[in-house]
Amino acid sequence: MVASPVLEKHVARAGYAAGLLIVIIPLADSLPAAYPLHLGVAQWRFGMVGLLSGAFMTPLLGLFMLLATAALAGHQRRLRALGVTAIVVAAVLAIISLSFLFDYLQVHGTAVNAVRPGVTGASIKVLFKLGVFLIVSVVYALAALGLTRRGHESAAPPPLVGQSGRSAT
Amino acid sequence: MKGRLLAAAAVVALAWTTQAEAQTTLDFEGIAGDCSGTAVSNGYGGLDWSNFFVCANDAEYIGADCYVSGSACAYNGYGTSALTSTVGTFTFNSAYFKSWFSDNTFFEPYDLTLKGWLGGNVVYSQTIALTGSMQLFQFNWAGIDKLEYDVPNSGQWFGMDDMTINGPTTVTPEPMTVALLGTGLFGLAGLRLRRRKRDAVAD
Repeated sequence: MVASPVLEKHVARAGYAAGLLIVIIPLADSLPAAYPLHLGVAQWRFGMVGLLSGAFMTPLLGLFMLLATAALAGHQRRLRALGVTAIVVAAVLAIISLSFLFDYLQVHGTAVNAVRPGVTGASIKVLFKLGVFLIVSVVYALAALGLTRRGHESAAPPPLVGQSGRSAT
Repeated sequence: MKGRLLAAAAVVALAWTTQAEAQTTLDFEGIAGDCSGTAVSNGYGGLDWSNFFVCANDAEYIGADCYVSGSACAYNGYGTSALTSTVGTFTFNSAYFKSWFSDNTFFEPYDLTLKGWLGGNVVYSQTIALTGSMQLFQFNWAGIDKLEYDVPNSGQWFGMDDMTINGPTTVTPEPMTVALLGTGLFGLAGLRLRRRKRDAVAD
């Protein structure tokens, strides 16, 4: 429990810092694996999505930490920004999943018979992971935007003058 | 100031994405002086080698044509599968291959399957028909971290020379990619048409 506004401010800062670290560090660690980029090659995209699919989990945990910090500290603007970020993440994951599905068809089509079951199995695993991450992102977005709306409603001025406890001047 | 920083970041990002790898042809020269089983050491050509050995200066044993350039070529040890890998990724462009020994016969043809791996998944695969003579095979497998040379049965040796890595690959639009792009453009065009119609009705 937060004892004072000053303490609340410091705890919120620490929460944001930790959340950002959890989001940024795994992504920065994964980037070198993508070098050099071969974005025009379906096989490379297929392998790279498979390779990086596991790296999305920790940043999502970091995003949750940022959301929780913003919600507990009552930072409505940040909460809204994080909600929008979660929507963008969900959209990116949806595009990646769709692209991965097309790439799978191409890789499967060019693979020798002995390799095909392995390609299919690996693809199902990756698609499952991406699907779960997508759902989690949508849940985050709904939670953040829902809390923002509720925050706005509770912060709205009282409908009648004087109802807030202050005398009308 | 902010604009300059953004421009610098854009230049760095562009350089990072467009920096070309250096094309290398691995001829396995200078690793061994004979054909008595010297392994290709890790780091040769920037790659790690598993179960690869060099046969040099013994044209009678391995067949003179195995030496595409110089007087050395690589082969798989014990007649079993072999691996080439790296910490990052590399492009496998081409290599010369031949059958050295199969079914207790020298230079007997057999099929060798090559698999290109990335992040624990097979992303490329191709079966090539080896004959008793060196042949050049093109692959152009971009961005793999492991290359597996899979012999169908143990006791099958192959020779390999002039392996080209990290060369350019020509990317041709694949039908699926074109279909996806086309669907997206079609959708965008549809949305624009719908908006125009709505605007016309509103006016």
